[in-house]
Amino acid sequence: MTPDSIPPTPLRSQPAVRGYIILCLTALMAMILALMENDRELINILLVAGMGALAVITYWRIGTPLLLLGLVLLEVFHRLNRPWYAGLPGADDSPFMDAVLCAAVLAYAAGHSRLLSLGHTAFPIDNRRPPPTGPRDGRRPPPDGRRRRSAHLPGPWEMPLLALTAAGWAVAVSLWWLVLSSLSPPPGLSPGTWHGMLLIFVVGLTMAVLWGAFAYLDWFTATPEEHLLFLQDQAWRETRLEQNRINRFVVWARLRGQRRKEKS
Amino acid sequence: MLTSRAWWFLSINLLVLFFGLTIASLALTLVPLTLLFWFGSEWLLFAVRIPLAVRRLRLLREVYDERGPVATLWAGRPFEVGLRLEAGGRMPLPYVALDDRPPFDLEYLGGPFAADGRVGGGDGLEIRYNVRCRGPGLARFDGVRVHVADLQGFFTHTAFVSGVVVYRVLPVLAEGRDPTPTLKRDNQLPPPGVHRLRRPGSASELLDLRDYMPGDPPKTIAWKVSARRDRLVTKVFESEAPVRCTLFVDASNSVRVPTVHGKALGRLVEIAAAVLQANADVRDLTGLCLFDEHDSKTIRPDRSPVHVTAVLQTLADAAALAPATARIDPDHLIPVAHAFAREVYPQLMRPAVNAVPFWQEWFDSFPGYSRRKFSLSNYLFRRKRALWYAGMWLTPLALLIGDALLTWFALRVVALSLWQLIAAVAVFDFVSTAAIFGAAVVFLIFTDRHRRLGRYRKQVAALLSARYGLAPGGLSVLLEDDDAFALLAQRFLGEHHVPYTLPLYDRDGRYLFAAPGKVAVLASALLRAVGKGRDNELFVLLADLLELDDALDPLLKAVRVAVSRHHQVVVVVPWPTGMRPPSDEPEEDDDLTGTVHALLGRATTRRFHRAYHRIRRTVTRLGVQVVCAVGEEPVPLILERIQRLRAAGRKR
Repeated sequence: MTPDSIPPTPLRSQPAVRGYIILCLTALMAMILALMENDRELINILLVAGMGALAVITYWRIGTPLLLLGLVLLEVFHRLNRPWYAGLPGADDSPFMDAVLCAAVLAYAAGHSRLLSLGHTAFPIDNRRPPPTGPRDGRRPPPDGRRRRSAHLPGPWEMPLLALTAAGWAVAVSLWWLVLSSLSPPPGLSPGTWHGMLLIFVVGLTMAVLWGAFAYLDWFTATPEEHLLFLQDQAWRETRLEQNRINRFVVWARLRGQRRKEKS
Repeated sequence: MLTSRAWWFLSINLLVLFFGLTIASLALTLVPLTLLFWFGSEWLLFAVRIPLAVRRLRLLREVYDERGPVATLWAGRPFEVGLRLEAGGRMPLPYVALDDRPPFDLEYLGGPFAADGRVGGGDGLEIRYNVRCRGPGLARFDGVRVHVADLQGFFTHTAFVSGVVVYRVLPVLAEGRDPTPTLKRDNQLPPPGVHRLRRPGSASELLDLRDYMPGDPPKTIAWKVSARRDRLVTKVFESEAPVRCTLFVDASNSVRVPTVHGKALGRLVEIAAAVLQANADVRDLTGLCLFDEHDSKTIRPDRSPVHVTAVLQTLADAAALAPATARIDPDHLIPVAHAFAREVYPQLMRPAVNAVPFWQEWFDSFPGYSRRKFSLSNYLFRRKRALWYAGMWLTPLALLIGDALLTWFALRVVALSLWQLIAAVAVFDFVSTAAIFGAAVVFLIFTDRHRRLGRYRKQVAALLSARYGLAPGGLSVLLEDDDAFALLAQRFLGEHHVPYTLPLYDRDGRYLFAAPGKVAVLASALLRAVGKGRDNELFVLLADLLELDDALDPLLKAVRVAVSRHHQVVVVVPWPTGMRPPSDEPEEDDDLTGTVHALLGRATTRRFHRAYHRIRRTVTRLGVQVVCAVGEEPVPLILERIQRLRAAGRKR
């Protein structure tokens, strides 16, 4: 049942909503820790984290993109303010703290999105339809498709599993990037360009294979009616000119007969 | 499908990744990479779930009354609809929201239509809500619409889980509607094989005693009782012969046309059902003849419970019929049919199996000669291929000729310099091209509706062709033949009980649903019934004969035959709900004051009254009573006729 049919309980007092808010705030704390360990300015870190926390508390939909842009600005600011004698930028960053940062941002992004599903809408809003007006009794979904995930649905393992997933992906990607970085670039290519090319190749190849597999799966699970429609479409495309000519003549003859009959 | 949330997420991450790779920042590379890989894995998982889990969803639906699940519904009674959505495979769906799609002709009483949650691994979604059936017919539940999303709201997919269940909605039970009181209170069942009728008749079993009335046969006088009471008392015996009654119910297009108060056919079905049940209560035989403008279907008179059920089911099926005519423009039906097909058959409307090629929209055209409506934009749109070709070949030619004429004029008449000539030609070419381009844009703007309808028509025609077994050549036929397409689209909408509006009059002002052909069918069915009938039958013609008085000759002949064979005939004419019933005598209303709406209403009422009186005048000459189906009047009248018939049989 949608939460609109259970209006008495405020959204923020639901255990699942509280849990995701705490998860996001914890992820922000971990992010602060990782950035501080990597020698970023504390004031800037707190500004970025505060913006993230505000987005969580107010169900601001642009929270995750804003946090990522904040991280970019933080990095730019860090590089601009770095003294010239301090060596290559990022050389003294801890790989472990980078992995913690990745896990924290991922946990925040996923947690915030799930929070939006609970507090705002889980499905895209159809702007062509009118928004709901007045209080609803929950028996019908609103016409514009706005629909929240019911707050009682998240199970007890959902949030710990998300935290574990974030940590796992952070470690896996860090290791994968370590392996990728160990491949020496061909002569004449900078390491950044080489890594970018490798990334595009691997991702592109994977997507091509998956595309083919899904196309096959789609046809494999299609119903006989879908196959019939597809074959009918193909036959129509191949012979439409001849069919159209014949059918136009038949219809024309029939209509002419009708007109003559009506006149007589 | 990616939601806007996912697009934002993806775009920002790609930007940050590009930036991180550009400035060689490990943190700004790893963070978006982690997010992107996680996003890709979620996408992959969601994409796998669509074919393997969503397509295997199962829907179980049942309708309950206070005693449990039912297979047939009754008009006017509340029922509870319960459904459960279950996973057919092993793969669970973490978040599913479903909306039920109850039939259009059910009245909602309470309970939610929607639910959300996890499906799979023993979990399912359940809904229970209460409805009431408005009138007799069919209640068709097509299935539920299912929205699948991931927990983050990044991906969404909408599908329709089909679970077609059709329930017959039988006419309302006529409880306690017995106009003739039962005089004898006998609670003993008759022995097997003996059918006693608790009605006055000429059998040997005494039913009751009553005061003597002039005309009663002297042999029925109870002398001892008369002597005791000091007045003449007559014995009343049970009847041994049931009366036969055949109901002719009009199911033609003229009574199928819906109004805000319902269909006239629904009212006729209710009257027929009430007469059937009243007759079944007194063990009289009732038959049914359902006719339209093409054909008739007859059920011989009988009185068994199986027969009563069969007649009620036939009436319910008839009440669900929708009007259909070939003589309308398909453009009226295409938007409704397309929207409904997209909602209920989304798998068959997706581009992978039911594509609309770009050339069909931009170059191909439908035939102009089968269209009945003429408009300039319609005409140009039908000839868009010719326009394209003309534009492609004639534009360069026109530019060349224009340039040549301009050059000749500039050199011979005005004597421009070379640079001035080049500038003049360039301006001329630019203006001409802009004008042609502008005309093309205006053409595209004005033909947008036609292009959209063309797309819709192709997809709906493909669906109809496959659904009704016309494939593979049916698609082309339906694209070319407006009449065939209109009939199939109406059949499709009618089968799904989708309300749709139809124009009632054609371009020449003729009413499209008058169905004059039904008079001949009714006359033929009546003659057949007379030929197979016994003595003293009652034929009840429940038919819309208004404004058909100039085509009634075959029916009048058939009625004369029936009357000459000592049968009785009653004509019941459906009457629009909300309209003032006609009086016994025609009344003149020449009041021309009031709003246009009120004037039109009065004119319509007057037209109906005149038509009713014409019919009544024509038919009453044959000794046949005509009554309009307003209120509760027709049923007692028919039952009273049956009583009279019974008495007539006894006297003879």
